[in-house]
Amino acid sequence: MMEADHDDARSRTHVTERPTGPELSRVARAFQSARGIDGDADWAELALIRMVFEDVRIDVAEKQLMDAAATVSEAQESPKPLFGRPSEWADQQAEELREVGLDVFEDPLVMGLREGAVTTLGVASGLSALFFLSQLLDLLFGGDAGPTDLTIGFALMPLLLAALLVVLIAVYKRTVARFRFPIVVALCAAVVVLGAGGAASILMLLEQRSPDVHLTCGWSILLVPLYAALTWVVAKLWRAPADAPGHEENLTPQQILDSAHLDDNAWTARARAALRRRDDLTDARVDAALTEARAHAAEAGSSLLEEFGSPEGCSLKIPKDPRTVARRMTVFFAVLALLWLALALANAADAGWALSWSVAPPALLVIVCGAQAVWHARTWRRAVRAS
Amino acid sequence: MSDLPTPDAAHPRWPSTWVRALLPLAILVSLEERPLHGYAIAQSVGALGFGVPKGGSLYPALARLEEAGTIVAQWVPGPSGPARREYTLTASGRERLAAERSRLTELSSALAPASSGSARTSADSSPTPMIESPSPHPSTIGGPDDDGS
Repeated sequence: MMEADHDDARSRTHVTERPTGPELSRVARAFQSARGIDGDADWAELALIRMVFEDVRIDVAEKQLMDAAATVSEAQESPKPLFGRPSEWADQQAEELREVGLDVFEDPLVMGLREGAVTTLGVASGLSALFFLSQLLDLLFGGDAGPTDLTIGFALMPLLLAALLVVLIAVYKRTVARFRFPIVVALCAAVVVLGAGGAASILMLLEQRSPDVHLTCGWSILLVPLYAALTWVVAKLWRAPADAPGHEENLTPQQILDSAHLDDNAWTARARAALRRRDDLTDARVDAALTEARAHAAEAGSSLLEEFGSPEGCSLKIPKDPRTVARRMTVFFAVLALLWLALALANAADAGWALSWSVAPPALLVIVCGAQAVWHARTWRRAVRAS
Repeated sequence: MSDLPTPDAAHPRWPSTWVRALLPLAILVSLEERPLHGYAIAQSVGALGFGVPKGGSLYPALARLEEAGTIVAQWVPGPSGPARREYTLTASGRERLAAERSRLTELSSALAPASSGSARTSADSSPTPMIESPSPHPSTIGGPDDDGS
């Protein structure tokens, strides 16, 4: 036990920056009071964060950890020897929740209007920092173009790019449940092309019609706190529905009746959507699972709802296919690397095939995306060999 | 498996926690003699005293076994209807079945009354654990929560 406590003390030194939140505080307090050792809270915090990163709803993760705290209190043992490492314990909990088909997972990329607006402004702030960095490098190392003046178009560019990214995510998340994957990819590509064209048109229009606000290059750094402040203001003023007074998510009697009388066609449609939303199953695998389910229910002489329970819960129980995500990510990063390569070559041609700083960022991104593609390809190959 | 006393295959003869833990093994046993499709596997597992599993329990277990390479599935024409997905035990599945049977026999010996003598003694002297230890902290949401009674 003493050795375990020593481990806790060591792990405590590693937790330097602590995230905050009411759930985190409650869990930390429960573990601190379980046997009166502060170090136990570090284990709990790491486990809670890991579960949230595994897309487990935070209230469910909190409940799991409160139960674990009760076990620590009963056993008067450090959580590490009791449960193992926090990451392993959290992964195991998430896996068990999936296996029993409990719909307690949420996708952080499925955003409502409020989350979309806040995310857009937050991403715009981050992009502004990247733009400033790019300008700074250009200035420091003597780029050909020289410092860029602050214009309305320049100020809006991070916002437009962030909005395009958020719209792209929204389109992907909303179409993936309804259409086959190649159609989803085609729709997303269309969004990128149309969005990029639209953003470029807006920027060109602004450049032509509005007078430039000629400021020195350093002023572009002001876009970072400006967008960050806007993010904070919007997040504060536009309250999330869950925070609004009187908000409750109770099911209506009609919803309960509807779910109890789900016919096979409706069940299949909902299960198909839930399986596609997972992103880790091919269309062929989804079709096979549903055909098999229908055949089984027909042979058993019962409904799909009786045999398989709720379509969403059932879709969680199907194990992950480790090949699908790895294959898709390999293709995605390979295509991205090729696009950056094309941009780098275009920039190099512009600079007369001489060494230029305009070639460096896309060339760097070619390397980063290429490395990602290789890494995912190796994961894919390992998964294929394992199966 | 037909010699097991199963007056009503639809209802489990064993505690539900055992049924849940040993369902993959029961599936492997069902496929030992011949390939079967999902519904036939459910009936076969029911005849083992596990109760006829619902599709919501059976197919995820089949998918996990398939992912692990212990069984393979292929579409075959149905006798009078549409094609069915038929599951076959692989060589790796046969090895796993033999190993798990052996472990369960050892476990049974280890749990036998002390007066039964040699079996208990041999189990005690075994240097390796008989069966994988369960999760240290069973999930309270959807985890094993009953004794099957």
